[in-house]
Amino acid sequence: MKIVWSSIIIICIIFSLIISSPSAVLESITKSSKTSIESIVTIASMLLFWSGIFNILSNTNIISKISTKIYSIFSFLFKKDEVSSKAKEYISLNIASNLLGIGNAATINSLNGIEELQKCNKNKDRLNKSMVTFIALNTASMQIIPTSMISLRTLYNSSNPELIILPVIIVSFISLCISLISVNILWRRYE
Amino acid sequence: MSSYIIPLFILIVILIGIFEKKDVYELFIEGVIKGLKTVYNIFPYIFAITIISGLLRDIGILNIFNIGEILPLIIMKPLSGGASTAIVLDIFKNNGADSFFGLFSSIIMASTETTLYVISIMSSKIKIKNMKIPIVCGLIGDATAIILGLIITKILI
Repeated sequence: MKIVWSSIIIICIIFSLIISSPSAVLESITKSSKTSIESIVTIASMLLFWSGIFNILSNTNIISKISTKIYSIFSFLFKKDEVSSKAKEYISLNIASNLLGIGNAATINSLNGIEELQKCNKNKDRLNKSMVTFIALNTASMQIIPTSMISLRTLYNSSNPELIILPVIIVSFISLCISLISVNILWRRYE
Repeated sequence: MSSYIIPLFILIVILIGIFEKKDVYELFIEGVIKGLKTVYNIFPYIFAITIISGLLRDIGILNIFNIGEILPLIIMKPLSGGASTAIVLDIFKNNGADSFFGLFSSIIMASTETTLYVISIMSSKIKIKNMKIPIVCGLIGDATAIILGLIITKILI
């Protein structure tokens, strides 16, 4: 992240000094700071609600039964000794909310999940394979029906807004597989 | 159909809680407190990402790449969902939602995630700095989605 973040800043500032106007830099930073405050308010407003609801859910007895079922479908992705039962719960809740497209619920469960995975991680300064896999699941799009994109297409007078459903399912699924395969390949090299 | 999912889900969670004789209200409050801590922790990361995606947009650097129409979206999507939606809407306005670029951008938008944003937020929770493998694998996935999206769009149009 360090490299990505600093190189984008450096490239943008050099670009503004040479080609566009240098005054745009401060303008842009001021504007973005404001946008980020606005977006954290938006994120917080829904994240807090889901955080409360999922805290109720994760304290019920039934959830451990349901999550073991969901988790068993995906268990082949994770290493047994790296995933606690609490982590299993959050992983399955995260996958379920991702599939349903409840973004904020997915976010809160991804954060809880990675935290639980870190708790049973032996070396705290280094990711283990289950953590990398879990992050890869979250950086891929798993939403089955791209509802927000369909509504945007409808808004902009598309004659067939639902045309994208099948392509999106195919593309997201294959790219998720490729991403998980590359996790496996790179992990072997890393070790 | 999907409008029923969320209200029903909330209803079911509360009912299960009451049925299992849990203090639903206290648990909700406890969750909100956890959520507040999370918001506090992820904010600096959101701030840092917003600054760079803002710079990319405002400095006009993406305009050079505008030859491909789709390139600004490809650069922006891993960083920011909001900014990339704005780019897609621009494409819709200029070319129409059913045009080649309209369809291509819709598919990219819906089948990739904001990879770098997700990784930086998740890393904020665990204080591990080395995120090389997740970044590389996430971007490989995004690249796959873009190539496949292009192929499918070509077939459809």
